[in-house]
Amino acid sequence: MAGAAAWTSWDFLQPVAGQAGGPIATVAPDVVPTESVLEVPAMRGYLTEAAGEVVPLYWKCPHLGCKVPWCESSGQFECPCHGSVFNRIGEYRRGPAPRGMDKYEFEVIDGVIVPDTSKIIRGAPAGTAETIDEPPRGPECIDPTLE
Amino acid sequence: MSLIDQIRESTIGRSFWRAPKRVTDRDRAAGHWSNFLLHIYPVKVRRREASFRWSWFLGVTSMVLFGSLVASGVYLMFFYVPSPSTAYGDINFLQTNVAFGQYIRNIHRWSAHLMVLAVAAHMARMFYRGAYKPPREFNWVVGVVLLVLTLLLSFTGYLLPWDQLAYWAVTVGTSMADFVPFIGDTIRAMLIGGTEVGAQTLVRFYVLHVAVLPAALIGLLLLHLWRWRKDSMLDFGTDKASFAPVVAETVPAGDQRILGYVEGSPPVGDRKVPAEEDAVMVWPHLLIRHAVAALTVMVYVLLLALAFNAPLDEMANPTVTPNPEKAPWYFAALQELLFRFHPLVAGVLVPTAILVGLVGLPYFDRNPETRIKKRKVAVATFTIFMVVWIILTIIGFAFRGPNWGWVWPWQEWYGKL
Ligand code: HEM
Ligand code: FES
Repeated sequence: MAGAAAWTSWDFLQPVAGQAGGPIATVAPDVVPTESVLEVPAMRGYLTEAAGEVVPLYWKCPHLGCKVPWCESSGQFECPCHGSVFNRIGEYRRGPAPRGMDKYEFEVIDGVIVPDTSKIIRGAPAGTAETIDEPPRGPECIDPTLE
Repeated sequence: MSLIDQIRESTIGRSFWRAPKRVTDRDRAAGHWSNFLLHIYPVKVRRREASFRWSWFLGVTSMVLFGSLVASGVYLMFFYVPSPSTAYGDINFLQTNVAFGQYIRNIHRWSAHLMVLAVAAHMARMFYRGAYKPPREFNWVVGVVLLVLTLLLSFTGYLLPWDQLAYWAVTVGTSMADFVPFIGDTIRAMLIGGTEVGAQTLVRFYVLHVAVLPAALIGLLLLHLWRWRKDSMLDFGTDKASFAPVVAETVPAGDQRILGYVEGSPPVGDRKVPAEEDAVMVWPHLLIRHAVAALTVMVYVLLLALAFNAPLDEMANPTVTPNPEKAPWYFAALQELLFRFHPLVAGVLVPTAILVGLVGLPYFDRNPETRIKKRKVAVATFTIFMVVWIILTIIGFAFRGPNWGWVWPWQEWYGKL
């Protein structure tokens, strides 16, 4: 009986479909900055590019879910919560996050980038080599004395 | 005859007050058996049960705080609708437009913090007293579950005002579930009803907070109290020296039953009862102490609520994480660990190990000794863990500022309650 109750409750309490987001029309690919990022609140993320390819990043920190702000002066993502740092395309640099920032799957439909916020691609684990060569270009926004 | 007495003597009065006036010990005993609330106590307990150092009255304190939370919480429910579009406004309205609204909210908030503190301290006191040893192993386990329920109640309540503090603390807190192997994602999705904290989360936490968890807590509390009565207050069986055998000729069977010494055994015979000098009547000796403890706690809460307002941050905003982002203080130690170690270790393995350790304690520690000097290993281990935990809590609470960087609390204060 307890089993039946647990099983039904489990079923009942699954999140309702559709809660997880969906395709969101954003901007044309030529608007996406190459040395910075474009924040798109509707898709809860940022658009940037690497080697001509659009990178739609989910802004949620893979550590514990804070929103990771972009730091213009250093050209990296720096999480204020526990100091995780990611490069411009969300690859792991340092801090307690276990992996790089997550991305969305996306399509270009009628000349507009359409990320699907229900389809998340996990970032590469911490320790994976970065694929772009962009060391911090200036002072960091978070306290640089943090390890 | 005074008016009260006249009422008591009337037909209606007598149907209500069954107990005789408490003149002799026998009246007092009879008063116990006929009173629903007092019934939870036996008629007599060993003297130590009424002394402060036996329990520091921390269990009673926790219970009183829970009572205060139920009372103030029900009041809050009249004014609160759990939806992101209304919740924050409701709290604001409550504070500014409802008579005593802010005060009731303060009571609820401070009682919640104090209850976490009281329950944790109660556990520590019971540890040092060795109160988890036979026959009380099971009640210790119930106590650990009660602690977990208290933390969950406080955590679910924390989200309800839907301010920045609430939103991000819960985002970070529930993200830990992600790191549970295999089922982490599903657990988190069930808990928050989606992939991010939102409307579904608020309803789920609300239902847990006002119905599921309080009901579970009350149920287990009753079990806890009942076992306390059986295993502790009626425990006359461990310390042989203070017992005198009952002689059938000197204690009539009827009195024995009424005095409650005979739980499930033949009423007369060689059953042992405490020597007279080791037992006290619960009414008035224990009751008065419990009443004083309860009133002290309530006065303290009421004054605290007069002096300090519960904080209300800006409305929750999923697009801006406040800096620093801090969990409620009782999770500050965890947050500090999460800053230093991989989330699987800090967020899953450490809490699991602590829980298993606490639940298993009475079964690992087979040493029957309760005197601290004879339990060096257990006492040292517990104390070290506790001190480390307290230090981490203080660091996380008071010594962390923006970007989780180090700050001296006397220079800048970032602790939030
Ligand atoms: C039956 C018992 C309870 C009921 C009906 C209840 C009800 C409520 C309601 C309606 C709120 C939202 C109003 C507000 O945020 O001020 C709330 C908030 C809260 N509750 Fe409870 N509660 C109960 C027990 C508890 C317990 C046992 C704890 C913790 C030990 C607790 C901790 C909290 C906390 C921390 C908040 C946030 C308070 C604030 O921001 O002011 N509650 N509760
Ligand atoms: S949430 Fe970003 S570093 Fe912890």
